[in-house]
Amino acid sequence: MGNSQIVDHYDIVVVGAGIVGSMIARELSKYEGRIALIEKESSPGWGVSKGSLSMVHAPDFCPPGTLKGKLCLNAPERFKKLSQELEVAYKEVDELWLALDPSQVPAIEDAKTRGEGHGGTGFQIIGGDKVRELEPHVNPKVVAALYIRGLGVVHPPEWAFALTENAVQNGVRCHFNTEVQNIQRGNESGYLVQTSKGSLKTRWIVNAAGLFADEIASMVGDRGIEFNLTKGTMAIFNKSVSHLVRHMVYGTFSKRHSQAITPTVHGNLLLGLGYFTIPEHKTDYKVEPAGLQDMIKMGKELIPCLSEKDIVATFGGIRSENNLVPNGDFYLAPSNHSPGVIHAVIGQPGLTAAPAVADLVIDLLSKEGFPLRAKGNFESKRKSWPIFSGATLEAKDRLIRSDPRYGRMVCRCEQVTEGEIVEAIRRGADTLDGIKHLTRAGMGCCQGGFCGIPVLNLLARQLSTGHRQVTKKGRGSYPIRGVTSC
Amino acid sequence: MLSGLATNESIAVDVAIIGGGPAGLSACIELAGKSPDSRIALFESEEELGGVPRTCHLFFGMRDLRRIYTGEGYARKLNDLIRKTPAEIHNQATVLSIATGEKGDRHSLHVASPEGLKIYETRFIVLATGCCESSLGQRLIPSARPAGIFTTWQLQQIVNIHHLKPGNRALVIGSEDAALSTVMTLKRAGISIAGIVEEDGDVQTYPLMARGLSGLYGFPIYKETSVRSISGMDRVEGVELVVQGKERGFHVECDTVILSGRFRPISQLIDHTPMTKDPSSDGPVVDMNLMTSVPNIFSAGNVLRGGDMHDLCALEGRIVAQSILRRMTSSESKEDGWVSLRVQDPIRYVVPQKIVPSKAKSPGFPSLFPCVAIQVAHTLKNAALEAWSGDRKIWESSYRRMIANHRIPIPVERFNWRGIDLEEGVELRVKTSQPIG
Repeated sequence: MGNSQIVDHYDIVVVGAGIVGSMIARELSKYEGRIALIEKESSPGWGVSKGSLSMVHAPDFCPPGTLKGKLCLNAPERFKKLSQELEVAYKEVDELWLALDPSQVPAIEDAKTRGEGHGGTGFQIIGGDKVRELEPHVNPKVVAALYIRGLGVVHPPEWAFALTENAVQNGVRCHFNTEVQNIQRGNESGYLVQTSKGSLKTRWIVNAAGLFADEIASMVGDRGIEFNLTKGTMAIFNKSVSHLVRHMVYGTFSKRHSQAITPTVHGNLLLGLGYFTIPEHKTDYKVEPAGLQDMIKMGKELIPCLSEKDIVATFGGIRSENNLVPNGDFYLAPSNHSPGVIHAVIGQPGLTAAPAVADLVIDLLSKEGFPLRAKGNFESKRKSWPIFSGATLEAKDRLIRSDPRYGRMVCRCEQVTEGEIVEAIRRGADTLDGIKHLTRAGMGCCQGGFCGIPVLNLLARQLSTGHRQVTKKGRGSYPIRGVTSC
Repeated sequence: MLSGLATNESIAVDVAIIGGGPAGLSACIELAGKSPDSRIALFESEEELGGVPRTCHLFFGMRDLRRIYTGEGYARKLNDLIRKTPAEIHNQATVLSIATGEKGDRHSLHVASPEGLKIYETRFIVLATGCCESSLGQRLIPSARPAGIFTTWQLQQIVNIHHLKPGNRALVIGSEDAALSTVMTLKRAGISIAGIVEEDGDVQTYPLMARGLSGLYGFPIYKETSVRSISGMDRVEGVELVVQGKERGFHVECDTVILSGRFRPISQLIDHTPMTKDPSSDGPVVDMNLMTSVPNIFSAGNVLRGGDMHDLCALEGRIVAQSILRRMTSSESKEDGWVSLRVQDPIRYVVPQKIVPSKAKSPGFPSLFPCVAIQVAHTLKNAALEAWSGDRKIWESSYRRMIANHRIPIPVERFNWRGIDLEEGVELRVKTSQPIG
């Protein structure tokens, strides 16, 4: 595949369409220039972004003096505004960081001091009674909590998709299933980015490759970046128990573990992360049996009436810290060796910081000579497709009458219709997991038991391929291997 | 609320049946036959009626139709029977929500179909939404979620409806009756069978049949064995198993994993209604007439508890029909002396959960007909079942073998009901839970 024929010329190539790369591409699309976004997965937001607790945090757990603490400031406001512009779901949730016994009180007081040190406001330490009132199912032992209002939760793959769609509306070219294999210095000022789908010529490069940022950096001569990787476990609960938790509830956390449970943007509960383990490799999202048990135990410490019986799905997530800056801070800097290359090497909390990271990257690009000429015709609005389950009865009726496919239920648990799935496919979802993350088909209590095969049929039909060409998540993930003789 | 809907007003029916599987169809056939003037509407989410049996194999219809059909034939037979009745059948019609009437007399349903969103007003509801198998996540099996993991129901759709092959070598997790159906489907599709894995000391189905199939098709049955994890990033590459009590696991090579059984009710329609949900069964709480805690809303079939035989579900559908017919003709028959039944682990559930002791009597062949029954989560041998009311034991019975996830009838008429504390209710327990093996 990797031929050296130049297929396109760009000003900027953004490598990696995680939440950060997608945000950068969207923000860059406000300016004149030819911009490409390259992603090795088949959809945006599928790497680290997907495997996270999906919270928009306050800066309270970023160590003092860190850049990331500063970048988390005002994140909820940024997300709220984007949510309206891009018609993508954002749910406001308040945080309760619990002290379950007096020995844990200093930790939450420190967090308050840290948060305020970064310029955050509205941090409050509240007593046990108040906590129990706000969160009736909380561990009754709770003595105090750090209470922060107005934070939020999102579904990162949905956001990355909306951001890339809006970027495309504004002229950005997205290349999925495209892996960067090598980067060569061109004759003039510029680079030749060789990918699995051909080569791109570009003047500037943004390295937002997440866990693979070290490899991209070494392609441009910056060999110093190394990651310290850890893996956590997460579990999604059935919606029938969603009433048990109203806040992002944190327990203790350290370099080795964290303990949190939160409502999700789509109304489930999400529990994570337990004790961290070391992943075998960068895509080792496999859930560890011991990690799973630990995480459940820790969850029950926060909310005792949680039951593993109500878990509908579990998944793993990888966190990274780079070795160039202390305290797990972000490394956002131009390349030491290659002019015009910006490294956006982030870590926790990358999702929260993404809008501010994009600003900073654009600032760095401008210092590297990229002219910031605002487009006169930038379209900040992206239209979502109608979400059947969230519509009023009247709107549901109108939808079906305008397109009967909205009256055909594919996923009963989440009430996702054929109309939505067909639209998601038309807009680029081409895998089973892609449909799942964009429409929620298969995310409910039966986890695709009923809709898995119908969605496979729809993909085969809409993409005009056979069933055998459909994948679960790109690459070799074919669910169908052949035809029967019977 | 109704303004703006194109249909402007709701549609009035006497009975609304939710679900076109064995339970819903049987309730509908019985009701329409006995009460031809009633307006009955049945809603089925899928394009075709029949429910789960459509994709399955042999041995359908024994208890309800007194003949043996293939699953497909059974579904067709019920379909034929129902088409002869005046009942309105709505395919591809999904009930989105139930709004219960305040006095329990008029309930309404919001129904989506390709024709639009319609509101039905009804006096009676039959909830017969069936069950589904537990997913990978529910079973807490660790993996990177590669392609190649299916439930039995998915496998049967792929093989029997689409004539496709999901893989070349499959390991079956779980050994309930559904596992037997699974290995037959795999064999038919030309997929080699890497084995059946069971955590218990014995299979959760008829041991002779399991042994027979294992010998005939040449696959091992791994008993007392747990799944440690499924390997493979993009596609299943194998499964790590571990014999209980052992530290070292072993690897079984396969490209496909079938999750079989561990059925759970699809009961989310009751989540935002006043209907009481039983945390043990995960289905609605029902009485002997299979009425839920909301008057005139009934429930039948596997939404009550997860997996039981289709023909039993069909017979429950008929019981519901008869209960409704009684309530249609006679005025509110107030029955006193209800007693609640509940269970303790390892009993998975008891259904019905509310009985009137004086009226509770088991059918002549309780193992063949609907009655008060339980299932246990693990196969037990030489165990005793006990019924307790407060600190009084009111019944006990010993069993040589209780097969997990098989229906065990409870002869409530033999309970010593005299002087029982009605408030306290009755709890069913297993005494000597010596696991088999």
